[in-house]
This record gives sequence, structure tokens and C-alpha cells, in this order.
Amino acid sequence: MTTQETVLHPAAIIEELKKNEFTHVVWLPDSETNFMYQLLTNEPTLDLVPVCREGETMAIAAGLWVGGKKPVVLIQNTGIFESGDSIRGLGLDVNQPLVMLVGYRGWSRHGITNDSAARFIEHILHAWGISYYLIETDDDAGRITSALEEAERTSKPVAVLVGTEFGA
Amino acid sequence: MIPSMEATKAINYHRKDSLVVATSSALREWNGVSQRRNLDVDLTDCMDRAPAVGLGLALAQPNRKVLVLDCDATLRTDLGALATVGQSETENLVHFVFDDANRSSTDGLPIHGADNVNLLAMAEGAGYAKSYQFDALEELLIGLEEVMEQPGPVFVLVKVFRDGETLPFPERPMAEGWGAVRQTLVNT
Repeated sequence: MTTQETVLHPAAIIEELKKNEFTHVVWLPDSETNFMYQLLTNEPTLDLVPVCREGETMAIAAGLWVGGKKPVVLIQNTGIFESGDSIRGLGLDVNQPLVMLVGYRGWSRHGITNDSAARFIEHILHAWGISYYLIETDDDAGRITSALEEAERTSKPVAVLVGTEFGA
Repeated sequence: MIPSMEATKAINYHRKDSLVVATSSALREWNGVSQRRNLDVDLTDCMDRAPAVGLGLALAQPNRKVLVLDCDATLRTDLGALATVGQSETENLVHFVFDDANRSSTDGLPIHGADNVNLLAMAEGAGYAKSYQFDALEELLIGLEEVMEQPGPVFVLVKVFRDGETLPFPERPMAEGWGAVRQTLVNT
């Protein structure tokens, strides 16, 4: 029997963002994105835009998009709940093709998921009609490209749920 | 105190080719004044997000001035935006806030404690590069020239009153208007 290491490295994510020519990462830092932050600050092709509260990310991304840039949002699933009205009004209603990288706090394939942030997030995305992709390892990172293609094809936000903590 | 429409006309006189993000009651007046609607990003929904939308535009278009026409009531519902904008170092962003004596956005209903909140001090504390307050039309007409030349982010509190009929919001849907602005910017 073999075991597969299920590690997602920030570098794999950043490579996907670079490959797809994203210009800005609009985000609220949290304790799980430390490794990502270190790499992003050293990546000259991506500008970091920090916010105070997650709902701002959708609005800033909207402004960037109207201005001709290609932003991606990076927040936790708890932030999606906080961002609800902005996702509706400044994402779905203005036809913004936005990729949202969403930390899937509480997600587990093993045992019971006690964290309500994990239990509710997919239902919320379904309610809004927002498609989503799950990434858990470096091999999954290509789904960011799939999400972008869908966002641009449908002119709608698409989520990428990051189902694991980043490895060093 | 300044008639709100006169303040709006004064800003329009100085806007040149600036992008303008207008929200709530400020948008009603801007809609009747602006002659460059292909550079206007209207917020008839999610009205508290004008500073954030303006920040995104300013980052995307660093060679163009971005004017945010905000209201005291809408800013109060997203005060965190002051810190986000204040710390952004966006030199091309001017954030106007119409402090409305008539409380138009709530149809005159008082907002608890609204008169005791010092938005100017908040903006200064949040890191805006420069802040102004105008209480008289003459001061605004003279001061706007300096405002527009300041490296931002700049915060401008304009004490206004409104009389007469309430003006309508733009008929243009947000998605249509935003698409038109985006197309304009892509083509220039």
C-alpha cells in the first residue's frame, strides 16, 4: 500500500496565477496564509491589495476589473459569509468574471465536520448559483485555470475552495 | 453649509477626465450634472462600497484621477474602508464625503449619534495623505483647485444641505454602465 502526500504549496497556486496573468491579489490575511504571503510579496507580477474586511475585496476587485485589470480574491470561507451582499451586488449583478480563492476552514474528508463555516459554505454557493472547484494538493492547482475559464465564459464569480492548509 | 447641487457642479467643473464613483444621494445629483457618463461608475446598489470600488479603479488606472462621491450615511456603514484606502498610498484617489444636514439617505430620519462622529478625524487617523473640510461654497470653489493637485489619498468633507425635490437615480442599470466605462478604458 502506498500513501500519497496531500500537500498544497503556495508556489503551485502562484504559478497558476502567473500563468493566467492575474494582476492583483485582493485579500484579508489570516493565520493560514502566512506562507502564501511570503511568496506573494516577492512576486513582482502580482500586486497585493490588503483590506480590513472581506466584503471590501469584491468591491475592490470590481473596480480593478472595470479599470481593465484581472484580480483574484483570496479570503476564508467565513469571509464569504461576510461578503454576501457584495458578491450579489458587485459580482453577480454586474457580471464580474471573478475568481475567488476561498480557504475551506473546517473541511475534512475524514470524520465529522463540526465547523459550521465548512458545513454551510457549499450550500451558500449553491444558493447563489456560484460554481466552485476544490483544490487540496499541488496536482489540483490547475483547477484555478478551469475556474477562470468558467468565470470568463459565464461572466460570473467562480469559487475555488482551498481544502487544506498550505505547506511550507 | 453648501447647497449640495452647487458642490456637485463645482466638482464637475474640476473633474476633467477623472473617473467618478458616485453613490446614494450624491449619485442622484451627479447623474444630473455629469457630462461624461462613459467615465462614471454608479453605485445604485451596495452603496457603502464606493470607496472600495474607487480604490480598485485607482489602482487599475494610476495615470487617471479617481473621484469618489460618498455620503456620510453610506460611509458610516463601512468605516473600515477609511483604513483600507488610507493605507493604500493611492496618489490618484480623492474621496469626497457629502455630510448632509437633511439626512436625505434616510428621508430625514436621524441616525443615532451621527452628528458626534468625526469623519475627518477618522480619515486623518486612517492615513489619508491630506484632508479638507468645506463649509462654505466660496471656500470650496477656491479650494478644489488645490484638492485636485494634492497627491492622495485625499479626504474631503463637504458640509451640504439639500432643498427642493429629490432627484432620481440614473435609469442606466449598473451592469450596463460599468460595462460602458470598462469599454471606454479598454479602448483608451
